[in-house]
Amino acid sequence: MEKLVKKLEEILEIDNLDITKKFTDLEEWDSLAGLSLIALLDSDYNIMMATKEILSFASIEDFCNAVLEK
Amino acid sequence: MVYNGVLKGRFVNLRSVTEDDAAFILEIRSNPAISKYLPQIRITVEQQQAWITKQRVDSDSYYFIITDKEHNKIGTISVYNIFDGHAEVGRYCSIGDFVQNSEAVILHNDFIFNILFLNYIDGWVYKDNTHVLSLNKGFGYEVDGEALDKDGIPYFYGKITKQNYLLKSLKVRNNINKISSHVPNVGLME
Repeated sequence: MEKLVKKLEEILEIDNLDITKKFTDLEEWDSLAGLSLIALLDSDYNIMMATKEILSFASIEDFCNAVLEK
Repeated sequence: MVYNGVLKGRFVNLRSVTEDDAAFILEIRSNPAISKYLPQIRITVEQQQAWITKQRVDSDSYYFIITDKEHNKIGTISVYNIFDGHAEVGRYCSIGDFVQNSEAVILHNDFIFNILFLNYIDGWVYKDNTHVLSLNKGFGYEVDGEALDKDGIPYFYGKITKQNYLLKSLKVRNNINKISSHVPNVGLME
């Protein structure tokens, strides 16, 4: 999980990401961050996830768990 | 004016608006979740068609429909007030996802800089529209100042120069290129 969170921090350009929040709760979240996230999932995790699915997670932690379980 | 070609990307295409798109434009512009920061248009389909007919012969604007690769209409984007090497971008609203929306902006800005050969894009964004402000900055937008609109609502004004755009859009292009295939949204407008 730590490695994925680190990558999310790089995408969002923030330190100490609060994984209890939703992506949309973050001021740094926008379409381009979403695009970076989809590209990361595809290139590093071989996962294809729709925007709607990414936004459906109750928290970033839930998102990370789902990615790591796939 | 009308661009007769189609601006083709991997995930979306941009084609010129026609009178047949009037109902779609009214539908998307009346969706508050999508068009929150756009002026509401309260006109009939026939009035919108007449407006499009006029736009198609305007000398200072282009208006595009964003379609997915199955030719479904997912949004609009426009460049207008083209004058002396610069212009404004607006009428941007989309039900597309992050990938489609990002590529649509790339195609549109490439059109402005590489086909129209403009030098910069003027832009203003409401101060509390942090999402679009952040999105614009990702494409090279730089704020020049701040002002109030006629209702006293603060907005930023600034521009995207061709040089900044080429530099900043590299990251976006690289991310689009990394995506091997695309999982489209279903029912985002629901």
